[in-house]
Amino acid sequence: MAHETPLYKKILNPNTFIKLMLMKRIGIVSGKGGVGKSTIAASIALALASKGFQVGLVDVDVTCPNVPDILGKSELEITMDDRFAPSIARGVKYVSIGQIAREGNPILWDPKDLRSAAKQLLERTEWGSLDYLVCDFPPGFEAETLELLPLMDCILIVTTPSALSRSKVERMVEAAREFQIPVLGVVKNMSYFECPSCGSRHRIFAEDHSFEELGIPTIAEFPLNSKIANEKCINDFPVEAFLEALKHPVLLKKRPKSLRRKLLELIFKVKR
Amino acid sequence: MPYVKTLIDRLLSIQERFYPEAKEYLNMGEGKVSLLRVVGIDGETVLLKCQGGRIQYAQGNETPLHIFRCTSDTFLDILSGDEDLREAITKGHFLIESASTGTIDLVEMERWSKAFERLRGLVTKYVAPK
Repeated sequence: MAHETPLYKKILNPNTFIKLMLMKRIGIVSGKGGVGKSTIAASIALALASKGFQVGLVDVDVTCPNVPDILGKSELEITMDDRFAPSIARGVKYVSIGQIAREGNPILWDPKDLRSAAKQLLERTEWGSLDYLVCDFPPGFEAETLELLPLMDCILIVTTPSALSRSKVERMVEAAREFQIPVLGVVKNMSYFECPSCGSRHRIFAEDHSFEELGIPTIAEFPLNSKIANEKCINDFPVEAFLEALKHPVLLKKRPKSLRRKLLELIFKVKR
Repeated sequence: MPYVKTLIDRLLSIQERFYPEAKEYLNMGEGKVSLLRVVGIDGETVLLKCQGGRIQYAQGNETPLHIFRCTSDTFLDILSGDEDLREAITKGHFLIESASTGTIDLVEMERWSKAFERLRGLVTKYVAPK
């Protein structure tokens, strides 16, 4: 019954592919939810736009979109050639499933549809020429993450400095190693509380992890404060530190093969 | 006769009466074939096609661009206004799939949701609320 599509139509449209490859694709990821990933993603996009860069922000979190809550829930327009025209807020082009689904309506789709939807948000949006495309991923390794993470040029891991979060960061780092995606570093969110009266800093989590032993630098650290919570973004995001990290992302090497493993390979090659 | 076939027969017989209101849908579907698969409470399936401005029974040899899937319950809910098309799509009650990929087509979903909302505005303007 299904229409048989020629192979050349099944692969990504060459024009779209070239445009996507020319822009720097930055994935904002986390091992668990509620760490402020969408806030950080939007803050990075806004900070880059304020520096004059052409920036896009795609909300890949199909089941729990947050970007429209931060940048505004404007309607998505459809272009003449069946693509989405992204909305624009404060110089950032953005698109999210939250602009299609009604407020309060859950997205209850099959994983294959979730993967397809995430891919379509990226590929079927008329981004134009962008310098940076920031991708706000869902937490952990959802279907959308597995679909699009391999397309990223680099990732930034957002975490809170709690004991529970550390193992999640380690998993995300391992995923980056597996997919061979460079890691910019870690952003520690809700890291401390700054007293509004006396300005003293109080660490909320007793442990404060460094991720240096994983080979990953800490790019920035942000407090838990009402200003960020109310504005839903960090207006003074340290974009210079971020741009510096972009020049030197960390590509973690895959574990080297053991001698035994190399020997086995040799044996089987000779046998053939 | 299966439940869903009875339902569809009755609706098709009165589609002419709603032709002016359906013009927007028809213009969107101009030149395209879409299949609508309605599954009844008794498990029976009816396959309809939207082509040339009319909804007809499909033969099964069509080559559609999109396939719409829903149960007869959802079909009635949407027709009666008890359920919004956009809501039905996000909850997985009404699926709009690309025939080539077999997965959801977001652009088509947004297009049909908008058309439905515009039409609903027209219908509620002229039809007394229940």
